[in-house]
Amino acid sequence: MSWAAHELESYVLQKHVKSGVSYLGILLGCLLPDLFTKLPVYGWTIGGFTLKADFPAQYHRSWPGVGFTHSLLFGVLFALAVLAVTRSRCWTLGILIGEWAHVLTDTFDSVGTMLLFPFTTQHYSTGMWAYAAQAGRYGDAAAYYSSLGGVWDVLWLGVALSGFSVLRRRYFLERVAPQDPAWAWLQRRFDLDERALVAAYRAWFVYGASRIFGWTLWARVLNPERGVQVVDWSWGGPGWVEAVSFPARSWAQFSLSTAWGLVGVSAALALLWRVVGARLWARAA
Amino acid sequence: MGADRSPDAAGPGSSEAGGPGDGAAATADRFRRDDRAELPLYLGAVVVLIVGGALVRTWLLNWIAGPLFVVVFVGFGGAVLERARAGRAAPPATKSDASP
Repeated sequence: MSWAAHELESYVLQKHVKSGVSYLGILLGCLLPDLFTKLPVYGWTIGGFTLKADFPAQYHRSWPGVGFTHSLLFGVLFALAVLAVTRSRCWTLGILIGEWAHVLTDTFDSVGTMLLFPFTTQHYSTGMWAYAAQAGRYGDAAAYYSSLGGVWDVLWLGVALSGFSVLRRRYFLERVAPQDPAWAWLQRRFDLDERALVAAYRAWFVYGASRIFGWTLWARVLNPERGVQVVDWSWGGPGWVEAVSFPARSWAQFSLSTAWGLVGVSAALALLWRVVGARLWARAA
Repeated sequence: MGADRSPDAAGPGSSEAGGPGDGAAATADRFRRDDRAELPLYLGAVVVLIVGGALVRTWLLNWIAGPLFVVVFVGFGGAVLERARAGRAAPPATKSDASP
């Protein structure tokens, strides 16, 4: 899985989208697939109760499991639900763009994502680094920040910094805040002044950037197992952790699943638009 | 917190100088000044998140606590710094000034 990339990509998208897209929507979309699914991946104990998936990769990215949250169609359905409730086009577009960015970004680890679910459970993956959630949160952090995963985060940081103007106060006050009433609501609800409001906009950038260096510092300097868990920038690394994956049985099966998935998703999108999407869009502002 | 510095109030057109052009330039200038003034706060937040995050890990480096820390640190830290600066800039109160 990608770590800081999901926070940083929201600013990269904000720079490239035209007006009429909510930044908060993009951010929510970028966080959405992991929002309610991540706790059982690493395990969570409160009192005597422990919530932990037996096979984290299966639970997180596959089916049966909650892997449907990492599919293109899930983003569309969630965005349509938001459109129905809020009647806000800028939030709908933001969530859709953000969710699709998350889903595509996660195709770079060894497990990948079921992009074309439910028409196929085929995982799409470049296998750039090892998915290692089964090693626990700290094992995963050590693996990610000792492999090309960490390089991937630094790359996203560089891309986000290349569009630094989106982080300026002027950009926020003239471009981001006026087109999304949620910022005015946040300001009223929490009695925020301009400084705090701008900080709220920049917060996920600061957090995402710091997260890269904080976890790298832990993985490479403070981690008691750093002698064994060494840096490995080979493709699919690090070699010291098991890289979970769900490969296709053959190229023929991969091609067939992909073709069926593309047709199915395209048909579903067209149907959704005709049945509900166009109507909801027309009554939204 | 709570001062009326809303995006609408601070946006272009809310002139701080004579004509509309001057107002836009003055506003842009204020934005730049404010960005520069807050830079130390953001750098402080980054240092705390990196060093503190490496030490306490997920207690600080999670998607709720991390961003919330940035907002609180910059929001409240900025207000504290502003008060300290205002205190330094104000002339020291004499005994006769201070007496009721």
